[in-house]
Amino acid sequence: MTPTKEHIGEKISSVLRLSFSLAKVNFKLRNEGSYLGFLWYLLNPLALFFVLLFVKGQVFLQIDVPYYPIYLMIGLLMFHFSTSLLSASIGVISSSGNFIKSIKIPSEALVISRVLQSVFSHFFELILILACLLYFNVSLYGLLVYLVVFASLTIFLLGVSFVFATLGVYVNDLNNIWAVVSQVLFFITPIFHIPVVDSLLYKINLFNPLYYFMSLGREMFVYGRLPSLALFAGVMLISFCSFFIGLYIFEKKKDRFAELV
Amino acid sequence: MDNQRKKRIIVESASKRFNIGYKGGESVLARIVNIFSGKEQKRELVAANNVSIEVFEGEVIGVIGRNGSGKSTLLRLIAGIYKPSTGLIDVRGDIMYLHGSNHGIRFRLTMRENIFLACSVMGLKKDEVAEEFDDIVDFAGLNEFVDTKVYQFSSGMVSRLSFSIFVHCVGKRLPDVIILDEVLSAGGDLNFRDKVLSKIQELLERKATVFIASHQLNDIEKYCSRALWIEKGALKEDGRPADVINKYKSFCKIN
Repeated sequence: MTPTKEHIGEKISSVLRLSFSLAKVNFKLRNEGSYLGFLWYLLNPLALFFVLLFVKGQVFLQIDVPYYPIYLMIGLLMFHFSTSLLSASIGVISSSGNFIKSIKIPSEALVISRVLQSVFSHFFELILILACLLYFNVSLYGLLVYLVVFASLTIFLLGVSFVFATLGVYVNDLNNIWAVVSQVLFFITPIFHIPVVDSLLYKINLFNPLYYFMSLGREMFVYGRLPSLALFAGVMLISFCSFFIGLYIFEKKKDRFAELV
Repeated sequence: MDNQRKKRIIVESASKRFNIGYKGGESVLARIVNIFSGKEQKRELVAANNVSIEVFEGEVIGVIGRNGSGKSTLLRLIAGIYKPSTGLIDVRGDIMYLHGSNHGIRFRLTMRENIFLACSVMGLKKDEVAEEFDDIVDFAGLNEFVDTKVYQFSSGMVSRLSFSIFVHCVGKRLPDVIILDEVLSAGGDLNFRDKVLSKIQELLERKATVFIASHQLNDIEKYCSRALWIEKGALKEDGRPADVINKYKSFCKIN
């Protein structure tokens, strides 16, 4: 059977449908039996937010940015979203061996549903951004820009998740490695600080994709201006490259997943 | 075999080898230690050994063999879950494969949620599930428990639910090939078993090709038109169920 265009379209839409229902169920299961429900999602970023605000007030840390709390909150949320999603996607395939073996299901759906699950919880985290904006009386239009940047970040992370899920099947240590790497990334990425232009830290960050997503996401809120179109186009390009490369690697390896997990 | 019927599945000298010395869950450190100590021995397990079969539409094939003989491996190769190490497998049509009895049932969800989830795992759309919903519940005979969480079900109830879901998904999707890997041995009382078997006969009246792997030799003899006996990954016998089962039985007595 040669795959026609409609055939592929139908296949993609069935994978997406399945991903969505899996994500919905897993999201529900995660909150099952918990009294505060989604409020728990807010706890981690909120605690870090207040600690960092507190520390900044206590030590000599010169950070010159309008609305520092908003700057901090956006950085924290984007970072938290990215690293927790990636650490979860490492085990997506390797922990569902039984499922993959006992029924024929497109394994892409497992990865996509994990990403969607994180996207759902991020929507709850948006409440924190909204609260900051209202508290400082900043225009809400920035949210629109933020959502576009967030969508692009999601596509980027989807690609990386495909790679991580694949690697997770072969390398059991990835979880430990990623725990350290994300710890390091937390201090390198400008979440609570702003690297001085041309400093070593700044140069390192030029290779850090998260840095670009964060600067774009903050631009409108913090400086009240639209991000530069060139930067935006660049970030979109990175996202789609990541997506296609990740998907390619996953597709190459997925036939062997069932026998390795 | 008559030549009028369409060929559904062609398996041409397909083999599947697994490296069982290789421990997938090992850490890098452990692997390095193993390399230096030379302790790790890789062993190959041939789970499917040079199997060739041709299957036509409308055939109902029983697959028998001892535990670990390679029944599931062969069926997974046909379903496309495993790729053959060597050889060729050509399947013309849509396949549904099912292994075990409580595939994808989440015990912390209600029965309603489980039905929607399991059906979408099997490729049904939401509105299609909604159409089938009442039938699924009726068939399983669980009308009073639609909003009960499944962990409170008895195991018989769970297997009734999952079988009912599967049967109705088959009815909706009408696949060309249906593979039931140890599905029939699932629990359920006598009444339900009768219901299941009559439902299966209904399926058989369509032109679908069905594989049934089971240790219930009586069922195989009763429902199948052909039987395959797999031993150590190789196809040992292929023919009329009664003959194959007899040979298999006497083989088991000797060994």
